[in-house]
Amino acid sequence: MNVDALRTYIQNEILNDPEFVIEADQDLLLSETLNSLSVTMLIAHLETECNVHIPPEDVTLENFCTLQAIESYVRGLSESSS
Amino acid sequence: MDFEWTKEECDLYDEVVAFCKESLQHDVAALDAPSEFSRDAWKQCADFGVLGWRVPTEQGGKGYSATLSALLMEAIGYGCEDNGLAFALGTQMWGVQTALLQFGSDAQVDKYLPGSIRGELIGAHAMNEESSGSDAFAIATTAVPDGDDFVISGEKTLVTFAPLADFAVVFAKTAPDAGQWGISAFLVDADTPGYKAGDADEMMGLRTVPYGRVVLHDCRVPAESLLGKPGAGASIFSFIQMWERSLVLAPHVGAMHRLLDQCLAFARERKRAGLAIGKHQAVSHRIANMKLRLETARLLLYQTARQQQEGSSDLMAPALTKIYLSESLVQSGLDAIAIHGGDGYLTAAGVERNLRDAIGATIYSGTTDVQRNIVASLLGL
Repeated sequence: MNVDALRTYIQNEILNDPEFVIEADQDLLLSETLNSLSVTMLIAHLETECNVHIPPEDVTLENFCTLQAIESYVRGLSESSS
Repeated sequence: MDFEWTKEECDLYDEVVAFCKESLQHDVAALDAPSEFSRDAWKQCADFGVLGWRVPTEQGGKGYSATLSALLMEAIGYGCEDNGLAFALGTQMWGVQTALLQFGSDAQVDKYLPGSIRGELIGAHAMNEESSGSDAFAIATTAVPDGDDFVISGEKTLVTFAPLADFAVVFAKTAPDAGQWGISAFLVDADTPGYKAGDADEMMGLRTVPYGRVVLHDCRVPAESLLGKPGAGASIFSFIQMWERSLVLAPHVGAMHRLLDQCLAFARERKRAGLAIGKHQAVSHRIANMKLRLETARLLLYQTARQQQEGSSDLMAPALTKIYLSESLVQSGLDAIAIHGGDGYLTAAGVERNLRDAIGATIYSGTTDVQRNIVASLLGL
């Protein structure tokens, strides 16, 4: 899942605001753009769409702070499982 | 979904009920009044294997699935009148043991799990603080790195088993500026200098399991005490909460069944003006509703247990289960009192204790209001 697809999902399905601006390197967690519930919803979506398993211990600031970080983390999971 | 249980599973259910009726017939009222925990009953449950039900066989447990474990915990709730004991077993199973099994290092699992299965080591889950509550991650407890150690300071409240626990899963901020993403989890032995457990707090219900405070003052623990990765504390907590919400109320279903049986027997035997009170619709309709709640609660519990077993990330089913099972037992507890009339209000009859014990579940492991927030969010509100 690329950065654009991630952004669209978060805008439409989590924030219910397609106009909400999210830069690829914009912090999502410390700014509380995503709260714990929305992160869990995002994880469920990523697991379904990307056919990966995201261990709860991997749900950290490092892996989920920006769209870029999420894309990179999920790509790493996909590559290691293929 | 097919919730047909196999003959072996039904036999196991019957065995658990029989065990409860033979070995867990302690005088609950005598423990409830002074708020005492039965360590003997706890050990009996451990010896029977309860605390190893969901632990994989290679780690010394029975390796039962979440669905079967839920069914057997329902049997405990049915066969054992000590609701506090059933709740306490659930918190070890779904809270403490889940934390160890999912996030513990080999050394941590080796240190704590065998003793937990044998009932010799009791763990606590120390997250809540005076100022956090439903804003669970708004904790103030810190864990400051110092050489190869962390130094933990803070105060935890409403900790199940706090006065008796041998160890605790303590959540503390290792990066205070990172909000919930700066929380880490630690396994802390209760005999660590700086760890102090308070006395049991007096409670409305579940008085046979001790709750209390844990005060950590410059409590130095080695880095090996870290559970999972630094900064993963919030995720660890959420994961554990998901299991708790889904399954810790399994004994509630059994308790609803027990109350239904008790009310049925009473409604058939008690007569007014020559007629069994069960012939009056004011009574019979209440009992019909108790049956309806029991069967719908079962479906929700089994469905959610299966989802958890399959590793589902679905948030809806655990939240609905937590709301429905907790509020259903409260309503069935009220109905049981109404059916028993004055007798139900008397402590000696033991009926009112079920209502007092039921209220707690609308609060612990995320209040029913919090669960409704989750459901509403998932519905796009």
